[in-house]
Amino acid sequence: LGSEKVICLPNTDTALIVRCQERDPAAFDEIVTRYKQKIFNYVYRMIGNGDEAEDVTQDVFVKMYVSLPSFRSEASITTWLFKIAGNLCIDRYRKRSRREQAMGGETISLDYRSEAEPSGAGGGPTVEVPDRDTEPQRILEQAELDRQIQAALAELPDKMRAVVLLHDIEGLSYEEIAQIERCPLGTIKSRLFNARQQLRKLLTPYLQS
Amino acid sequence: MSKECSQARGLLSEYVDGSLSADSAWQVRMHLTVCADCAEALQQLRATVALVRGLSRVQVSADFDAKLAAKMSGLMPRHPSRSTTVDNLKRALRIAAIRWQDGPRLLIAGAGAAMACAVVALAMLSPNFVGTASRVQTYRSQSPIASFASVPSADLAFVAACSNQHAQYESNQSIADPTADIVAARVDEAGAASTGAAAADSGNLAYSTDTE
Repeated sequence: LGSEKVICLPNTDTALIVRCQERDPAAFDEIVTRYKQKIFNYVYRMIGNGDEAEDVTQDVFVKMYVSLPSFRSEASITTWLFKIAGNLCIDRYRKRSRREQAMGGETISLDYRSEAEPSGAGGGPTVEVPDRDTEPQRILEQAELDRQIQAALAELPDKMRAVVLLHDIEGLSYEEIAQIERCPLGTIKSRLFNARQQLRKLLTPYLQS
Repeated sequence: MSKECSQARGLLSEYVDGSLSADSAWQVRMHLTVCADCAEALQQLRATVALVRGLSRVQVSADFDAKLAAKMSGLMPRHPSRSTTVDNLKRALRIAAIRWQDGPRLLIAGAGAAMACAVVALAMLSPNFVGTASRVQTYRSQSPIASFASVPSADLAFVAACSNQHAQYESNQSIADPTADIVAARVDEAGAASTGAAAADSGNLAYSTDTE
């Protein structure tokens, strides 16, 4: 037979979920491609370790795939994935705290290189850095600032940190975060308010510059 | 801190996000014009939020997908079944059902579909369609191999158009009919025999093989 025609299947999130529920591997790959960076960044900022964050992010997609039959269509895929990610982060904290108690304490490692850091420093993947950020001094300053912000975020209680990350970094609305955290809207606003107050105190030396 | 300052500070976070009601936002704005401390607090809050938002994005490692694939092995079907027309229809209905909450857009789409159905129904009642349908009935009653040699070129164009339409919707499916190859060969033969006349009738006579 001759060449096959390419069939265009719908690619909205809803359509991808439906195709995924029918065990279409291409739809699953598309969801992973769309959301892996967002979920990874959230998980990484929540638990602070790159390798562990990648492991958790992969587990998010595995769990999503396994839970597809129970997915309720009124939720968006974004809120669903972040909800799974949040639950897996909590599981990871518990495991980690048990391990730390057994080993007598361990500090959070900030071992992953961000886009702003120069290649060759520390572990993690190779990243193409935009031309405008190639000045070494600026890159180092941004990397240092990132470390300080990450350290300040790590000081926050988990629930506050989650709200700050979801709202200020991932850009989710109060309503979406309330769905993810299963909290009233007022609770989310209150957590965000308190988190920002704490961050303002922790980051005061960097606010002037 | 005065009562007004306390109230304004409690709203600053939402004020920065632009999520306050117009009335509340106006009250905060009015207070900020007369209270330097609260205006300073607002600047610091804005700077804090800007710092956090400026946090660099981290990238997954190059082997992320491979590791995920290893975790997924055993969960994914090895040979996914090719979707049939019925599968595609079921999927479309499920997607439509999920999107039903979008209401108005779907109502417009539904109205469009209803109009399309009405147009098809009118077309079926028209004399041209009845003539075409009767010709198809005639060919059905004859042996396919015997009949195609005497098929008029205009009707061959109709058969080719049906075939193309079928291929458009079913291009990932082979035709299950065991006589399909024989029929296609006869169409080709008849088409070659009446090339001149057919070309005059229609430029779309040739059977499209790239969709088989």
